[in-house]
This record gives sequence, structure tokens and C-alpha cells, in this order.
Amino acid sequence: MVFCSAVLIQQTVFSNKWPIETNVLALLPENKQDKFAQKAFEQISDSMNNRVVFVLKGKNRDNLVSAAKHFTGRLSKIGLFAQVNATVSDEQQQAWGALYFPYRAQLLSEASKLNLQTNPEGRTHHVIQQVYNPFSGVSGQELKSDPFLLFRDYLNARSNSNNNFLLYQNYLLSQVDDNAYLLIQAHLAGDAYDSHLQSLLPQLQGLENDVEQQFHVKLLHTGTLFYAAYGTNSAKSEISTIGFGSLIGIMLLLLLVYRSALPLMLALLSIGCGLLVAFVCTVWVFGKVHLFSLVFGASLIGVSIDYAFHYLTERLVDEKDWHASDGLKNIFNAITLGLITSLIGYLGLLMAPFPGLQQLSLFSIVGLLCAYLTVVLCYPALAKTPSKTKQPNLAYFRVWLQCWQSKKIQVLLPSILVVLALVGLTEVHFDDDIRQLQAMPEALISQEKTIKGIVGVGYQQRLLLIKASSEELLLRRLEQLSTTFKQWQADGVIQSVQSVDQFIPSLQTQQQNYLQIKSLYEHQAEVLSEKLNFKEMITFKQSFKPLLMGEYLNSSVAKALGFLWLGEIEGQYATVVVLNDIKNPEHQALLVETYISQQSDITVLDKATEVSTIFAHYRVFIGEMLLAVYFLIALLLVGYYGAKKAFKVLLPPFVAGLVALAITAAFAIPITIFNLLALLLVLGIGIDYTLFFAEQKHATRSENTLLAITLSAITTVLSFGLLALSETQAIQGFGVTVLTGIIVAWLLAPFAMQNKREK
Amino acid sequence: MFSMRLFQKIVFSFLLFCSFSLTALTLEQLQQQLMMQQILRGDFSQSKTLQMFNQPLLSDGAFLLSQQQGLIWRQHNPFPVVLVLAKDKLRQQFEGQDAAVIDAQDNPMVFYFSHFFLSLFKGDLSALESQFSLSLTANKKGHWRLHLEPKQPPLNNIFKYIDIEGENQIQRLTLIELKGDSSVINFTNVRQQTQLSPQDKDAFEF
Repeated sequence: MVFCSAVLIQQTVFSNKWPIETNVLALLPENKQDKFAQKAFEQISDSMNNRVVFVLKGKNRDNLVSAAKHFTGRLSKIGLFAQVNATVSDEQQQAWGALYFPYRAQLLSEASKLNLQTNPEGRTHHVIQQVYNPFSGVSGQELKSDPFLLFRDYLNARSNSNNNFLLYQNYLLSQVDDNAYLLIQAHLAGDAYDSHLQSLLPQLQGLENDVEQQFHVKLLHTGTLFYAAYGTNSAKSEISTIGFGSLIGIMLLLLLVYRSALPLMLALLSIGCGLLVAFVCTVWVFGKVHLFSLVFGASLIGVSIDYAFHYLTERLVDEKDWHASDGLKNIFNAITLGLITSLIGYLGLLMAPFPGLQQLSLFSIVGLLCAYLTVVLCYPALAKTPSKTKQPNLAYFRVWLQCWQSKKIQVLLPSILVVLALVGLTEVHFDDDIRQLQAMPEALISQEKTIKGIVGVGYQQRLLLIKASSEELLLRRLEQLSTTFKQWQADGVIQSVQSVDQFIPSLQTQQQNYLQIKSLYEHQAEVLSEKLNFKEMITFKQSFKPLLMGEYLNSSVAKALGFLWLGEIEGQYATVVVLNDIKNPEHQALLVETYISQQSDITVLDKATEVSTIFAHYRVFIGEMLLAVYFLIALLLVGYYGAKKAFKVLLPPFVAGLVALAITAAFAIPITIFNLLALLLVLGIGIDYTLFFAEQKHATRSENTLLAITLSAITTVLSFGLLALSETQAIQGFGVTVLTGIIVAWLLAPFAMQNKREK
Repeated sequence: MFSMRLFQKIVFSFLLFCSFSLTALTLEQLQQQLMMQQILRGDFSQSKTLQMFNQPLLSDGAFLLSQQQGLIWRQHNPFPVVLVLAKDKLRQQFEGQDAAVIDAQDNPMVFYFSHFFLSLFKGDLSALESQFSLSLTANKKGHWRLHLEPKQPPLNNIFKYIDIEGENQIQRLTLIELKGDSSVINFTNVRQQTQLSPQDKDAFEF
């Protein structure tokens, strides 16, 4: 214990960082099947998750600019961001030109390409007209380097495809109706799930409020950080609610029933030992404990206290006849069997190749084992003195147990519950959507929608992974696909498309362009030179030099979308294409789906769906596990007790599980992997209850058992009742299932009692 | 996923032409004078002198500036063309052809410059100050010259300086490029007008 505390202190205090993981995706196994998809997700989420976008909204542009200056000046000082990009530097403005200029003889905009094919004379007229036009801004320099003014058209086409912004005093500004929107982007100084960064959010909020008030503007923000922080905070508050709620409940119960300090201290000792060692072991094995493991782990308080309750109840009722070691003997079989059955359940989870479940099960196994060992090893030594508290009045318990001697009750009560459960079970529906795990506050979602609308990327994005055997073939394939995507865009099926072929044409296209431009010079250079009265006839001097992807990726312009290019993976080249806002009506979405599914080299990247598939997979896994655990425990019990008694021990937790599932379904809560985990817990705790009754050799002592399991049930119900209040649907569902399961398990527990006749 | 590819160095230049009153000796006064001119019309002749050319490229025509609506530029020679610069649109029409319209929403670059142009014509010298260092000189005969040196790209990659000269009215606009190429626009017959003619009104409707 001292060692554990030392490790914990070393881990937390000295590294100044809680080893707590809050990213939901960290719960999941890595996608090992598809290296391309994995790399795509890593690259995209790195680039997306650590980005925060602010939008200032107001009527007056100059006021917006002043507000932006004020805001960004202070923003950098918070320490939340490594980089704040509010203005577009002169260098950035010229970066595209700098990238493409050396290759201008190979670059043609779509419009120019068509124009040169159908009407090369028109180009000459266009140039003459532009040269005379004072607003076109054709300088001597430009005319010399690009007499047919093709390069400016190319750059213009690049900059104008899907872009709603204009530059105002070097700030990015978008005008929608009466309102101007100023865009500021920032990159986090670390990971969006970093708790230190999340702790700086109140300062950001303060600054945002200041700016809004001082400049009378509206400030919107979006980014993974805000969602992550929200999730962390709600999970943290849930952990403390459950933790403190059940702790306080337990302390009050202990004081009320045992009316003495020693039981309280003992109980706290076993809870403390269990949680501390469990936490340290999990950190030691996994490096980090996931928040979800902690939330569920906090529920361990309610389970690990059970062993203590039984021991303390023995002590309470024995009064002056108390012998610390005899007391242990009376309950040893029951608590040991209880531990073994619980461990069987959790060990099954440990085998799941699912980091989240492994953590949860390790946490629970270690926690339970410690609580058990505390009771077995420490309690006899610490609780030598008999209890001085008067026995509580157990009359009600006696009446309740008396009822259970009636055959009618023994058959009727479980039967009625089973029938009710079967009715409820028809309502069960499964839902593995990962979004249930993430609390999604409305305010953040609406800000995100607004911002994405202004920026023009759309709220719904579809990521496509495209592979080919070489860079050139991949670019050619993208160009081929782009014609379809552009048609969709023109038809309004999608809002826009982002793909690297918009920045780098394939070499094939570059050569075609080169020949087309060369031909233009051959046919039109003389006419143009004559009409504008050039001193020398213009000639085509440029040689072909390939513009490759590397050139683009090395340029500062690749900061924006360069991450779409995945490059070489195992001899194949891959890239991601983004389709923004696939519009409903259904048939349009279907058009997109059908087309994509017909292309063998396209994979749809959809993290939510992928994760949900994993969840569905593990829901089935846990379901099977649950059955296997029941089977194993049944085998164990049959071997130990014989078939009849084993049935009596196992039936109450089984019925409790059915009822719990039915009631959860009746609340219209979809059944997920977490509800099945809850059933595992119901089994583990429920069987503890029945085992104690089964192990009770003297019927007169049944009241004591009932007292102990009642106390235990109250604490469990207390902690899980609080869980049912969670904002996160998955946790809420978990709470409801455990809550109802435990109540039923408690209700039916006397079923395992030996009938007086059998004695 | 925000597209940032914006506003590269496109070689846009612009034309400044305004009408100033004689008494304008400070920038503030100049600006005030400009704001008061509601509608101006006149003739122009442009001469482009580029090293590539054997001789300067000459053109002429008429113009109309409205504080409210924008600018109409009617070139007569060497070929007729009408350019209309409205608040967020640019229209160009050759004789006997359909007009080509560039919309601000589709082409933010052009919008950026046209916005800049119009703030110029409205006499918003404070907008100019962010891009140029301005110096104003005037002699006793009432001739003044506003000298503008670009401070930042893309303008300072193209222009060495821009001069606007005038007396009672604007007379000349000179744009000198870095390599010595130049454009000079002379304004003659500049006069104020109280109302737009129906024809001009129509020209702004597109």
C-alpha cells in the first residue's frame, strides 16, 4: 500500500500530469487490417484535432479587424496555442505564385484549356484587350514572362475554387448578407485531449467575453479541443458524483448500522486499498487510465465494500461471542466463491483485444482482489475487539425471509419477473453508434455548423481513400474522378470537393498542357507580336520540367491541405479526397454511394461507422462472453453444490439480468456493449448475494446475511443510481441496467436459502 | 479543412483617378473634397510605354464616376469597349458581343480590387494609407501632386510609384513600374454633373 502510494505520487505529482486518457478513440483497438486507412486517420486527425477555428462576426469590417488584433494579441499569451494565424502574410500570399511560376508552360486552367482548343485566336484578342484595359493590371513584367496571360488565369482558377474569403487588411473575411465574418485559425500547443491545455479554456472563455463586450462583436469557435474538454469535464464530474455519492452513502450507512468508528475505518481501508492499487496497476500496465475505466472503476466502491459488510455484520451480531478469526471462517467460503465468480467475469474481459475493456477488467480484478485481501488478511487483526453496538432490529428481515419459505413465493415471484422481462425484451434494440459515448452539447454543435457554413466546407464530410501503384497513376486517377465530382458539384449533389489533383496535375496532363501552349505560340505568337507592335516576335523558350507532388508538399501552401496526400505505403500510393456536404434527398446520397461502391480502388473512410462496427463486434463478443461466464460459473457451482443448489444460486442473478435488460429497453435506451458490461456486473454482484444465503448453514443467521446484502445493495444502488443521471447516453444506460439488476438480484436473493425442510 | 489558397501575387494594378479641388493642401482636405464630388465625367487618353513595344500603345475614350454607383469606362479607340465597375461586379462589353460579368462572390480577387478602387474614388484616402506611403505637394499656382509609394506586396513588386496630378480637376495619372515600364492617363474636359443620364443609369444595371 505504501509502495502504491509512492508510485502514485511519483506518477502524478512529479510528472505534473494526471495519467488519465480522455480520447474516446483510445478505448478502441487499432485498425490493423488496413494500413492505409490507419495512416489516413492518423494524418487527418493530427491535422484536424489540433486545430481551432475562431470566427468574429460583425457589421463593420474595421471594427472586426480591431477586435481581431486585440484578440490575437492576447490569445498567444494564454499558452494554449503554438501558433495563431489571423493574417495572411505577404509571403503566404505569394507562395502559390512562387510554387507554380517556374512551371507555367505546363499549367492551364480548365477554361483556358477549352478555350485554346476551340478558339486560339480568341486568346490573342483577349490579351490585346487586357493590355489596353487599365483595370486588368497587366504590367510590362508580366507580359514579358507570360505574353498570353495564361498563368494569371491558372492562379485565379486555383484560388477561386471553393473559397468564400477575401483579404481585408491581410485578414480573411467573408461577407454573408449584412454580416462580415473574420476567420482566425490557431494550432494547439499540444494534443486536444491534453488535460493541461483543457485547463486553460476558462482563460480563453474570459478573453472571448472581453472581446465580445469591448467590440460588440460575436465570437464563435470550434475544434476538437472544446468537445474533448466538455467530455473530460462531464466525465470528471460524473466520477466525483458517483465516487463521493457512494462514499458518503456508505459512510452514513456504516455509522447508522454499526454506530462505531472501527467499522467505518475498516470499510474505508478496503475501499481505499482496492481503488489505489487498481489505479496504480492500471497506470503501470497501460501507461494511462482511460476516463471511462475510471467512471466504471468508481463503481467498484460499491462492489468491493461487500466483503467488508459481511465481516462487519458477523461482528455486529456476534456481540460478546466475537472471535475475529471465527468470524472470518463463517464468511470465508462465501466471499471466496464470490470473488472467484467475479474474477471469472472480469478475466473474460481481459482477453478481449480491446484496450478499453482490458483496462476496465484489470482495474476491477486488482481492485476486488485487494479489497478481498484486506478483509481476509487485515480485518481479523484489526477487529479483535467485539462490537459494543446493540444489534439492530431485524424483525422486518425475518418477516421477509419467512415469506420466502413459502413455495408459492419461491415459484411465483421469479416467474412473474421472468414473464415481465420477456415482454420487455421484445422492446430491445441495439445501437452501436459511437456518438453515444461522446457528450455533444448543442451549443458547440451549432457553432461548428455556423463556422463550417461560413468557411464553405459543409458540416457533413465524406472522406475517400484512393490508391494506385504510382504517384503519376494516382494523380491520373484523381483527375479522372474529378470530372465526376465536379459534375456532382455543378448538379448540387455535393457542395465542394478537395483533392490534391487540384494543386498538382498529373505529368500526362502537364505534357498535354505543354503541347497545347506550344501550339498556341506556333500559331498566334506572330499575330500577337504584330498587333501589339512588339520589338521582337515572342517565342516559346520554356522546356518541360516535371512538377511533382514533392514540390507542392515542400511549399508552405501545403500547410492547408497537404495532409490529404498519404504518399507511399508498402509500394502503393494513397491519398484522401474530401467530399463536402453530400446533400439529401436520398437519391442523391444514393448516387454518390453507388458510384463509390463501384470503384474498386476507393475506400470510404468513416471513423464513426468504423468505430460503431467495432462496437457492434464487441457487443456480440461481450454477449458471448456473458453466456460463457454463466456457463463456467454454473459448472463451478454444480461441481461444488450439486445441480439443485447451483440452480438456486444462479437463478436470481440470471433473472435480475433479464429484468435489467428489459427495463433498460422499456426506457427506450438502446442496448450497447455497456449494458452488457452492466449485466456482467449484475451477475458478479448478484451471485455474491445468493452465495451468502447458500453458504448460511444456520437459517437463523439468514437475517445477518440479508442485512449485509441489503447494505451492499443500498450502496451499489446509490452509486449506480447516480450514474443513471449521466449526460452521456452510454453511461446513463449502464447505470439504469445495473440499478435495476441489483434491485432484482437483492429481491430474489433469499431464493438461494436452504428450505427449512432440507435442513 | 479550410482552403487558404488565396490572393497570390497576381499582377493586378489599378488606376487612381479622382478630381481634386485647388485648395486641398492636406490629405484630410483632399479627402473631403473628393467625398463632395458626386458625379464626374470627362475624357481620357492612355499611353502605355513598355520596353517590349516599338512605340507606346495609345487609347482614348470617356469616363463617368458616380459616388453611389461606381465607374463607367468607355474606350473609343483603338477598339470600342465598355467597362463598368460597380460595387461588387465588373462588366465588360465589346461592340456587337455579349457582356461578360465577373461577380464578386465567384472571384474574390477581382472583388478585392474593385472594392479598393471604389474606396479610392469615394475619396477614402485612409484605405490607401494602409498600402502606400502618401506625400502631397502643391505649388502656388494651384497645381498639386499626390505621390504614392507602395509599401507591401503585391503592389510593391509591380510599381515603383504612382502619381496623381491636378489643378482644379484631376489632370494626369502616372504609374511607373519597377522595370521602367509606365502608363500615363491624361484626363481632359472633366466636369461635375448632378444627375446620371438614363443611359448611364442603364449601364450600372446588371
